[in-house]
Amino acid sequence: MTDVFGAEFLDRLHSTGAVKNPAPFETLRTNGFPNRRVEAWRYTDLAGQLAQTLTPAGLRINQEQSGLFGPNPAVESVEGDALSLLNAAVGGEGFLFEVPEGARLKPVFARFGPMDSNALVNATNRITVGAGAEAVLVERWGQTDESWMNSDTTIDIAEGGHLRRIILVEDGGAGTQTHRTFTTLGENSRYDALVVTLGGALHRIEQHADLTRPGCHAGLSAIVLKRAQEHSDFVTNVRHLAEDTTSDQQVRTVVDDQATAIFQGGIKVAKDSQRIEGDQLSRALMLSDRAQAFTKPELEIFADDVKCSHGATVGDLDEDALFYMRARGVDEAAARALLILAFAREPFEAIELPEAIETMLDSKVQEWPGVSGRFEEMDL
Amino acid sequence: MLEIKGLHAGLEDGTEILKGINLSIGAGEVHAIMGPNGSGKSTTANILSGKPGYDVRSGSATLDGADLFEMEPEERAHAGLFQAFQYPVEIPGVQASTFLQTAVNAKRKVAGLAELDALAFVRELRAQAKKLGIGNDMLKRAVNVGFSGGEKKRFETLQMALLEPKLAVMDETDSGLDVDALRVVADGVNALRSPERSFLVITHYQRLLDYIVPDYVHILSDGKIVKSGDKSLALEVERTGYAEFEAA
Repeated sequence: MTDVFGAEFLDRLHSTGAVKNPAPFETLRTNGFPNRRVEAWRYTDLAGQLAQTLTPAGLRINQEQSGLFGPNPAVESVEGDALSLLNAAVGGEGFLFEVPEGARLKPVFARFGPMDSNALVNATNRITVGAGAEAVLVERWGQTDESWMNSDTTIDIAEGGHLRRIILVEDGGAGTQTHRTFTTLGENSRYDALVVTLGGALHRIEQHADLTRPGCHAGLSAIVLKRAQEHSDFVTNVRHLAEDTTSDQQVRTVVDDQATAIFQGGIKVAKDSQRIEGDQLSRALMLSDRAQAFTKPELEIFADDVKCSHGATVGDLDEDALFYMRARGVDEAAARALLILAFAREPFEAIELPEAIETMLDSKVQEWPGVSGRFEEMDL
Repeated sequence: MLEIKGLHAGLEDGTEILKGINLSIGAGEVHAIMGPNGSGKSTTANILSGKPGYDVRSGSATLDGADLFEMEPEERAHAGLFQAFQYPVEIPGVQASTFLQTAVNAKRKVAGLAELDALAFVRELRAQAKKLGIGNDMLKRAVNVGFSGGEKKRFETLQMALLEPKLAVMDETDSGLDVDALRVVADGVNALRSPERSFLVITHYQRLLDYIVPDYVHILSDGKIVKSGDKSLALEVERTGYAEFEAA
């Protein structure tokens, strides 16, 4: 039974005594982790991660306003794959964030990181948004070493509720982050997620949303900036399970050096879900011949009255725009930085990002080869 | 001010376009270059500003003694050269006002001046924009995105006003403009005329020169200046067409 993918990793984990729930562990130990023959993992190889010896550790939460996040000790069975089983096996405690019915919250900021160095952090989080409530949650997930943060977050948004999440996944070092969100939307509710992923050896961010009642909307978008040998896999899975529901996915990717970025965008429309609109657009900017960007739209439509669109483009920096700016006296590096940021930000111009995230995006772009300036650590 | 001597140049693929241009523009002078399509008018403008894709074979161009061909495009701008483009480029995602502030401060930095803060810059920007009938809504949009032909040329003129060049090269500024839009742009340009500032106005039609009256007119044909004169030469072209000069 040692031949499954990641068996040694699991045996090492077991020997630390970190496994709290035998059932999910046994399932995982029997089936192993998904390798690249599994379609959903075709572009992302966990071999490097599974070769590591990491220390199981808890999730550190720093928040600006105290009392908003409680612990979420409940280990729920989540419908995700092997990584959700890993999380469940360890019984990773996470946060509970509840927005009461009718509440209007000012933006809430929180930082998440590992409790220990070179840690394996598993966390199960839960967010509930009461009927008619509105909240903006700004999360920053980051670490400075080779830790692996793995989480499942389940979200329930009740009738008329609106949750906007800005999720900054940012690693200073060679960290790994695998985060899955499973959102269930009620009647006339709204979920808008913008994932910003920077740095890291491997980031795989999954956003699953079930549109279960009429009138609800899910926006699952991402800005992906990758260089060196960084790797990003952004996965969406919108299920239109009720009529009169809408979804929107906008992905902007910038890859340089030998970085790889993948977008797997799923839209599924159930048989009796009529009057559906689902839009998806992925645009990638390639700054190096050895960088790679993959877009894989996956549309499964079983209803008739459906407007779904998907598009993908891959291109270089606009040389004419670059020259235009230089002819106005802006030096090449500054002009490149402005153009890269503009490309990444364009679909999200209407969204006001917190200044710390704007500054981080800006400094990350300044860090690009051929672009002057240096990265400065920002605090939220 | 500008001295072009024996300039032979063309495309990087080897096509020769300019076949020995000589031109001298003094401080405060307005020169017009007229010529038929394909004579090398836009190539002259693009080579001066350093647009990629062109190749200088021989000859020189200096601005106040400084060799333009030794400079990067941004250095030419810092030295006081400004090209008003025939087809201004759209830059999605870059707000017009941000772009202008970046350009103005880049030039001030090189000149050893303090960069303007947002407040000081906006004050200056509003004053100049008002003269050209450019409202705040246009400055909030992305550079040239969704601008009409007239708005694009007014925005070029606004950039010129803010960057205060020594030499402005205006490439077919009249193309795509109706008479009213042409008058607004010409008024903007005329307001910038000064004893220290020179203009090189490139055009196919004489019409523009009714509004921006040149001191000298040059006829460009097949990569060479075939005739030079005063503003009456433009009227002569209007009457006779370019064919007569091509034969020269």
